[in-house]
Amino acid sequence: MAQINRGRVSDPAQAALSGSHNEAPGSAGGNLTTTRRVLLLLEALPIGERLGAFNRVRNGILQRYLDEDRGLLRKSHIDERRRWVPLFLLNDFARYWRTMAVDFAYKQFDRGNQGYALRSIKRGVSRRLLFSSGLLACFWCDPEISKNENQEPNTQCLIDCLVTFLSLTPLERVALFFVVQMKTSDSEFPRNTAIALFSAYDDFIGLLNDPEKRKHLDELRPEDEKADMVFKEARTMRTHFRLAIQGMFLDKESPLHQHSIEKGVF
Amino acid sequence: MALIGFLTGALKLGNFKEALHLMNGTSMTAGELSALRLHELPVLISALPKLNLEQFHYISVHAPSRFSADEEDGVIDLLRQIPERCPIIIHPDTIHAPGKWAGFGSQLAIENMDRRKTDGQGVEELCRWFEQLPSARMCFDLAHAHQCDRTMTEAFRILLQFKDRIRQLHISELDSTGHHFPLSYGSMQAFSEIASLIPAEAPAILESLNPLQGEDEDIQRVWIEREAGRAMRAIDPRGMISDALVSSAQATLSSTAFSA
Repeated sequence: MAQINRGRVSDPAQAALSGSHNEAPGSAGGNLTTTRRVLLLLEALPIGERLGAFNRVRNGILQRYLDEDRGLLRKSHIDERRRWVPLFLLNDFARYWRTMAVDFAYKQFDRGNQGYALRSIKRGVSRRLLFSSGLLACFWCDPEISKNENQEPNTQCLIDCLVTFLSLTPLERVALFFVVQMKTSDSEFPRNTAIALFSAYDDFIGLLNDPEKRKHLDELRPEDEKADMVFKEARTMRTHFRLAIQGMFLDKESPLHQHSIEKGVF
Repeated sequence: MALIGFLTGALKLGNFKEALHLMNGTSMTAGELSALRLHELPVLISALPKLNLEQFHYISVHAPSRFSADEEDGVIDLLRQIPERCPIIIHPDTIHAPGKWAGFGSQLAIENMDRRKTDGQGVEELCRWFEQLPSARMCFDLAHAHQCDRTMTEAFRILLQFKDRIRQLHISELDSTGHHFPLSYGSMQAFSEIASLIPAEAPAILESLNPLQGEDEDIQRVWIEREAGRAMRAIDPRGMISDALVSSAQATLSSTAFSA
């Protein structure tokens, strides 16, 4: 709160000043509305002790995503498997991620490359984590992934599952996934992938926490980045993080592999 | 067949005798005697032994919804005169000293609250009350839960957490300012989404405000039956019957009412 009062926290969606986070998903609200709505789900926290308004808005948004997803919770006519993954929600998370990527390219032009290096690293690590944790939240609705034996095929149970999971921070969501997998699998895959992912993220936090390196990256011009040692270090940790995330979702040993191919890609 | 009936104050505001008289000519098998306003409690307590409640298999009493800490002992003394078989429904925010209420044990049923209240709405807040009054049962108010969370997710959570504590239900329509009305189709639909989790044996008490107060008694009784039928459909674990059937049944009921 003190940081907000002192104006040290920047507007998360500063490109425009209108729109509402709880506009219906899928409406023609534009990038700002999508961004606000998705950020409310993925990283917002209520301030104060009375959580009613926050919970009502969040539950209401989730209900729209679930109720208007026609095939959700239905069994496939091919293999009788129930679809637990909310695709409407997943597609909006994906839209947000792609919007951010397009916006990044746009800002390069709009801001004359100012802050390019730092934004590039943040997009590849912290923003990638945020999207990944959203994708994971959608897959977490499948009891085979969450290992939740009490999961019931109704909207309220899915909202409860999503709210509980989304109430964690993005890092905690990923950590919970690995903890559950490590407890229920003999494979070394979850442990090794978790170590790679969290080590890379730890390096990233260490770098951003270094005021000199952060300032250096913020002021680095694109033409100088190739020879720049700080950028090289940042780029290496970004690559490590990307490979760990890719492994988490796409490795054939990952329980997320099938969902990632079927629902995340095609 | 589940027990169903009305809160007397919903049928006839401030007059439980007239409300009971109205229910006497109906198929209602449960009732809740309202003493929501503090001054109604001594009147109700003194009348209680003489009331004809033969038609009801279940009767509860709603404690006053507002009293000061100084008035709390007097309220408790009056409520102690209620037979143990009659549950006492209480709003948690009215309780000043929880320890004083522990003696009621499982006769006390704590009700989940609406949005106007600052406590007792969701699972976590209710848990704190049941920690202080561990033997207390619960009155699950579907309208309050629906008003707090239109998605019924909190209602779902309450049922998962407190299913075994539920002593009775409150059913009605509630607007955003906390006023009770007859059930709307939207509320019925919302209630039906969690109906499979509601304990089948829990008596259903309707708080739908009787819109026909002062009209012909037979007409009021038809409305009572119809509203009770709508409530039963809303909490039928097999799911709600289709709109077409509801309309058809209503049309039949209306024609019966006016030919009576």
